[in-house]
Amino acid sequence: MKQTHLILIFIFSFLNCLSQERYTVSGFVQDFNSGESLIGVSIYESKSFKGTSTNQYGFYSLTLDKGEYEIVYSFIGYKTITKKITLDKNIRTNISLKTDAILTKEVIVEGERLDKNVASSNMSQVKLKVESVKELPVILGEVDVLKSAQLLPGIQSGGEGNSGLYVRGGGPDQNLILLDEAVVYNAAHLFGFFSVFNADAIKDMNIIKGGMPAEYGGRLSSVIDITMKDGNNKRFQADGGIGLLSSRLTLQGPIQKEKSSFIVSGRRTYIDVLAQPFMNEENAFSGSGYYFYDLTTKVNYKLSDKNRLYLSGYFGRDVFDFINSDNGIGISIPWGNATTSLRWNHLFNDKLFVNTSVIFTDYRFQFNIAQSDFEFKIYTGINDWNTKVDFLYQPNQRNTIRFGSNYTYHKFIPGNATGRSGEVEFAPDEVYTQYSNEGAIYFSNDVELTDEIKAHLGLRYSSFQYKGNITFREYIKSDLTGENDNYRNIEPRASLRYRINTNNSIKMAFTQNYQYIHLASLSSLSLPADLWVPSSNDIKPKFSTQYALGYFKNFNENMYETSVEAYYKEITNLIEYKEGVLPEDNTNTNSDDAFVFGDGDSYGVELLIKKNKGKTTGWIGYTLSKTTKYFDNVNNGKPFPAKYDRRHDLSITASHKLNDKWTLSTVFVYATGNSITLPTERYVIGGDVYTEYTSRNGYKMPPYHRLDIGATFKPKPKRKYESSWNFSIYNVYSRKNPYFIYFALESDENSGNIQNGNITPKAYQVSIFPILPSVTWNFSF
Amino acid sequence: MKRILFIIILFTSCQEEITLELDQARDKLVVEGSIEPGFPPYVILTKNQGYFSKIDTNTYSNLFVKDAIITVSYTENNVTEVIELTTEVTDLLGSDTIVIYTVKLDEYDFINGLDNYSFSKIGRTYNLNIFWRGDSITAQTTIPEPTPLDSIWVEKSEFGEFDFESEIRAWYSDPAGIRNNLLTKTKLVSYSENDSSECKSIDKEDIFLQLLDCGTDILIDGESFEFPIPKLDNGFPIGNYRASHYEECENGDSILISKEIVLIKFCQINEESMRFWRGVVRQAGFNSNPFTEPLNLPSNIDGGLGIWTGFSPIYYKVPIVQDTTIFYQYDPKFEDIL
Repeated sequence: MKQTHLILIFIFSFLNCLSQERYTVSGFVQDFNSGESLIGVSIYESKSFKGTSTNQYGFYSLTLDKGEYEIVYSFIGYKTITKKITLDKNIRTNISLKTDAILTKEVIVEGERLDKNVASSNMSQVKLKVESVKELPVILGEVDVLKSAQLLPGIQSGGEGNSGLYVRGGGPDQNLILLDEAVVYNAAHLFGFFSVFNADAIKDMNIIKGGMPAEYGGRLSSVIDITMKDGNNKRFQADGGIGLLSSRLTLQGPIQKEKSSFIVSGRRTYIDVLAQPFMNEENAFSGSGYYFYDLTTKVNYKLSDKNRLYLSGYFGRDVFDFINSDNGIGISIPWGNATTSLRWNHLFNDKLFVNTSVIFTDYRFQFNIAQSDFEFKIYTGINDWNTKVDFLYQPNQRNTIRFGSNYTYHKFIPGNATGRSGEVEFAPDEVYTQYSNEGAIYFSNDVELTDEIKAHLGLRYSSFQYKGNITFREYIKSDLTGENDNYRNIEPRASLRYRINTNNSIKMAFTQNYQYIHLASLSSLSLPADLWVPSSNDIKPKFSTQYALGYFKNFNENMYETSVEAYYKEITNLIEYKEGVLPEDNTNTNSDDAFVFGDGDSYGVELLIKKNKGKTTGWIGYTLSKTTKYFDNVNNGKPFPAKYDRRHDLSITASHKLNDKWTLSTVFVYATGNSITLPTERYVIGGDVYTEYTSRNGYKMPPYHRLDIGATFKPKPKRKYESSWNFSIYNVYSRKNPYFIYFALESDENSGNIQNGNITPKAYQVSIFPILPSVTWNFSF
Repeated sequence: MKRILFIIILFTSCQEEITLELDQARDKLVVEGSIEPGFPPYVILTKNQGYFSKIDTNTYSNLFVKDAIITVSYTENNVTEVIELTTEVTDLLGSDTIVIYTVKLDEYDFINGLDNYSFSKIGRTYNLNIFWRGDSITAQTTIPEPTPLDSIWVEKSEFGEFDFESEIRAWYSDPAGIRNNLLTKTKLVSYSENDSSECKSIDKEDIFLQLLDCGTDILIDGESFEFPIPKLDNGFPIGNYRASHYEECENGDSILISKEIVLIKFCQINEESMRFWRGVVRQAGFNSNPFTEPLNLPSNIDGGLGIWTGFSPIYYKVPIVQDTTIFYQYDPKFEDIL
C-alpha cells in the first residue's frame, strides 16, 4: 500500500509541468584552461533562482517556460558567467569557466550555489574540494582526502593515523567507496595510516552519510564517491611533489586537442630505499622493508557532442617484506586494489542523459612465509565485474529523475592456502571460490512540489543470488522465478525539504538499505587480511533503517552556513566471528559456520558551523552520539558499545589567506576515547597465566585530541612553472594520544610462566605520533 | 601478520605504564583435566584471580583447590563405570605446590605402571563431574584415534650458528578424509647448563611437558610430508636443540655439555580441545594486540574455565645426536604424561 502511495506521488509530481510551453538549455561546463569537466557547477535563472547543477560528467539541463532569461553559471574559484538567452527553443550551450584571480585573495570554500545546503532536498551530504583539502595541515606531508572527511560531523576516524571511516555508527565495510564508479574494497595503505587515493589525481569527492539516494546501494552507512580528473585537453602539464614519505608525479595533456586527453599519476614511498644504506648485506634483516605505490590513469575521448568515452584505472600495492637470515625466515605480504572503469556518456536529447559503465575491480591479499624447505601461502581476494546504466532525465526545473540498473558478478576467494614441505606440496584440488550475482534497479525523482517543499523520492529493488557460478541469464531467470537462493528486497529512500524562507529550511530523511557482502574481521581495525564474504543461507544480508531530521540556516548572505541534524539508525544481521573460531578454520572452504549474528543501533546529533567566504574560512563540526550492539552470543547476550562509540566528537578547521603567497591553516580535534575490551581476571593453565575478558568494549580509552598547524607558501609563478611549499606540524603540543593499551605479565625472569618467579601484571598505553613536522615541495609546469 | 604489525608499532612508538580500574572478577573454578589411553585421568583444579591481583609463589599455591569431589565416568553398552579422583598422588609425585587429582594410590602403580589402565580407552567419551562448595561443574571429552609419526630423526640445524645446534625433524602421513586435530608437547628430560665461573656442568630436567603447537589438518589432509619439531625458546617455537659439545669456561678451560634429551608427545585431540589449546598458543602472542579482538580461551567446562581433554598420544624420546633416527615409540610412565 505504501509503495502505491509513492508511485502516485511520482506520477503526481509530473502533472504540474505538462501544461505550459517549455524549453531546455543544456550542455557541459568545463574549466577554460584545462578542459576538465566541472562537477557541481550551479546553473540558475537570475530572478527566480530556479536552477540545477552539473552532474558527475559536467552535464546540466535546465527547463524553463518560454521567455528571456539571464542564466548564471557559478563555481568555486571561477569567474561567474551570466548569459542572456531567449528560450523559444531548446538551446545547447557548453560553457568554459575561467579561474578568478580576485578569488585567490578571498577564498570561497563552497563549490556550489551558496545556499545549496538550505535549498537542496538532500541532507547529510558533503562535497569536499580537493584543493581546499590540500591546504589543511597533513601528517608526514601526505595529503589524504579520507582523513579530511573524518573532520566532518558524523564521520569518525578509527583512531590515530587511521584512514577508515565510521559513519553514524557503521563499520568500515558499510561504506561504499567508489573511484570513478569502481568499488574500492580496501581504501588503506600502510595498515590504514594512509588512504589509497592520490590527491593529485582526484577532482571531486562527494560524501553521503545519510539519506542515500536510490542510485547508490549495496552498503548501509555511507557513500564516498570519488571522481578522478579527466586530464588537461588543452596543453601538456606536469605536477608533482616531493615529501618526507613519498614522492608523486602527474602527467596530463591532450591526445587530440579539446577532444581527448589523458592523465597518469603515480606515487611511491621510499622508506625502504632510504633504509637500505643502513642495512648492509651482513645485517640479518637485509632485504626487509615496506613500500607502497599506486598508479592512477585515465583517458577520455569526445566522440561527438552527444557521446563521450572515459577509460580510467587504478593499480596500487602495498608490499611488506621481512627477512631474517639468522633463522632463514622470509615473509612477503603484498596486497592491493586494481580497478578499471569504461564509461560511455550519451545525450539522447537536451533532457535525457545516460551513462553506461563496465567496471572491473579486484582486491587481493597474499601472505607468504618460507623457512628452509617449508613454505606456506595464503591468498584471499574478491573481484567484481560490474555493469550499470544510469539515466538522468530533467523534464523541467521542478523534476530531476534518475533511473537505472546495476549488475555485479562477485567472485570471492575467502582463503586459499597452499604449502610445501620439502618436495611435498599441500594444495587444494581446486581453489575454493564463491560466486554471487547482485543486481538492482532504481528510480528516483527530485521533485519541487511547491516553492517550499522539495522531495527526493526513490525506490531501489535489489536482489542477490549466492549459489554457485551461474550466468547472467540464469541469474535473471532465478530472480524472476523466485528460486530460494535469492534475496530480493525493496529499499525506499525519501527525503523532504521544507523551506521556511531564503535562509532557513527543515529537512527529514528516511532510508532503508540492504548490504549483501560482509567484511569478516577478527580485528577492531580494517586490516588487509580481513575477508569479504557473501550472504548465504546462513549469513543473512545486513539491513538498516535510518531516520534523520535537520534544521539548516545560513547567515550573512550565505557567508555562514549552519546545520543541526539528528539521526537514528537500526541495523540487523551484523556479523562477528564466533568465539574460538579463526579465519584459518575456513581455509579452502566457506565461512558460513564461523559467525554469530546480531543487531545494532546508533543515534546522535550533529552540528556544523561553516564559514564559506572571506579571508578566513573553515568549519566547526560536533557530534554527540551513541552506538550499541546486541548479540545473543557475545558479551553473554548483554548490549555492548561499538568500538567506535564516541559520545563526543569535535573538529575545528580553519584556513586563513594571509596574502598572495601565504595561507595558514589549523585543525583541532577532540574525541571521546575508543571503547576497548580489557581483561578482568586471569587464571593458570600449565603454569602459564591466561586472561579472561568479560565485558565487551566495556572500557573507554582516554580522550583523543590534538592540534595541527600548517602553512602553504606559493612564490610568484614563473613563466614556465610554479611551485609551492607546504609546512605542517602534526600534533603541535605532542599529546600522547592512546593508540592502544596492552598488558604484560612481568616476572623476575621476564617470562609469564609462574614457575619462573613472581609475576606482576602491568598495563601500558602506547602512543604512536608525537609532534611531527613535515615539509612538502609541490611543483607544476 | 597482526603479530608483526604489533611488534613494529611497539618498537616505533612511545609507551607509558598506566593504572586501570578493572571490574571485579567473579570467582570461578579452572579445570585442567586430561585423560589418555592406558593411564588414569588427572585433574588440576585452581581458582581464577582478579587481573591485577598479586601473584607470586605463595599466592600461586593458594590458587589450588584441594577439597573438591571429582568423578570421571563413561557409559558403554548401557553400563556406566565411575571412578573417583583424589589428591593422594600429589605427595608421591613430589609436587610441593601443584595439587593433582587422580585415582587413589591403590588403584594404579604410579611409580612403575605403564599404559595398562583399562578405564581409559580410545573411542570412549568421558564425563567429568566436579563438586566444590555447592557448585557443580561438568565437562565431556572423547579420546580419538592416534596417528603416529612415520619417522623422527635429528640433523644439524641449517641456520644454527654452531655445529652442535640441531633440529628434530619428523615425517608424518595424515589420514585422508578425516578432520584430525594435532597437538604436540615437548619437554627436555635431560639437559645441561654451564656454570662457567665454577667450570662445571649442571644437569637439569623439565618437570612438565609444554605445549608446542596445536591446530587442524585442514591444509595437510591426506598428505605425507616432513616437518620440524622446534625447541621452545621463551615460549616461542623457534629454538634449536643442542647436541653434546664443549664450552669454554671463564678460566679458559673447556667443559663437556651433555646432549639434550627430548620427550615428544604427539597427539590427536577432539575439536573442542583443539580450539582451546590453539587458543592457548595464540593468546600469548595476540591478546592485548590492538589488531585483534580479545580472545577468551574457548572452554568445554560447563560452569567454569579451562579444558577437559582426551589425548590420544604417541610418545618419542629423542636424544640429540645428529644424523640419528628414532625407530621406536616411547612407553611413558605416569610422571611423563603430565
